[in-house]
Amino acid sequence: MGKTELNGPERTAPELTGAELDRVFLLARATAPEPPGALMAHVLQAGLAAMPAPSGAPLRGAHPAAAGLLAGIGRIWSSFSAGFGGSAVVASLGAVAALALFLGYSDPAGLSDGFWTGAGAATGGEGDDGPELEPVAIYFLAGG
Amino acid sequence: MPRDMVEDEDEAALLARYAQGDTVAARLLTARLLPPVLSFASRMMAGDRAEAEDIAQEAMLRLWRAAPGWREGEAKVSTWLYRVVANLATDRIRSRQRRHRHTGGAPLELSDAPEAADGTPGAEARLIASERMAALDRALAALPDRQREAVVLRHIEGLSNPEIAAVLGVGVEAVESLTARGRRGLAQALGPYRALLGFEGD
Repeated sequence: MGKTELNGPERTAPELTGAELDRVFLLARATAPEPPGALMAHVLQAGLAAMPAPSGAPLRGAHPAAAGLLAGIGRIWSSFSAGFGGSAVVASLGAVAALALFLGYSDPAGLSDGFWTGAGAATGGEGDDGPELEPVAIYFLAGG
Repeated sequence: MPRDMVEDEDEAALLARYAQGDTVAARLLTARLLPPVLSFASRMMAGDRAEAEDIAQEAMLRLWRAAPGWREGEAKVSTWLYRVVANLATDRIRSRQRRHRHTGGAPLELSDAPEAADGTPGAEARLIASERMAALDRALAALPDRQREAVVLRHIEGLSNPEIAAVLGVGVEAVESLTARGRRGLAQALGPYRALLGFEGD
């Protein structure tokens, strides 16, 4: 089919009535383009690629900056924990470290000021020149 | 609660789920939002399918990127998307007009409507519908940007005047004025093509 009567419209033609225009709009709604499968797939693929890593903390309603910070921390935590064998392993290491820190700073009962002198004598060394042990090790050596 | 409000709440909830890494939410949002986005982009770009798909894709990509910082209640998801599409389309139309002025090309005519490529049953009906839509698209393209956006959103996408006001960032009265002037412009521009549109002899 070649060019149609669309060429050279009559300048004096009456304009469409409101009802006629509404019928044109109706046709436009009925013939709205459907997204092709390839476009749907591409958009979805882009969405999945841009999707933040799953996290337990809900971001709904959060301030954008705070939400972004939380999402960033979540990503960093995921990367970090993956290098140590997973979140559970890192959590266990963290618990042990916290316990050690607590024990190191606590003042265990039974450890007198002269404890180290005695310990040095027991190993045959000289108390003042003996190896320096961390408070935690001292605690365990004392059988605490 | 109006149906569209319920749907919008669902879209906001889906976007929140997407931001938490829910792949099902990504699929649902794509299926729900891409069709109207493409439809609006297509009408804004005078039926240029390739341009419309590019715009729809870009708009959806911007939505994905905005999801982690989305503030529920600040803007409706669909309103936000329509605004993005309108801005992208306006940029492309102006860019096209600049190129056109520089190259001195002839303006597009209604006769540039696509032609039928097959003789299968229904092909003639599709051709007629295609030519009618081409006439509408060309007439829409001749309208000022804001009038075109208001008319398409109101009469083809079916948005309410307050929703259009949110998309365009104007008051409801301005939307009513834009829509009325746009309709008048379309009625005049399409008058000469009433035979093509099937109104001859009505």
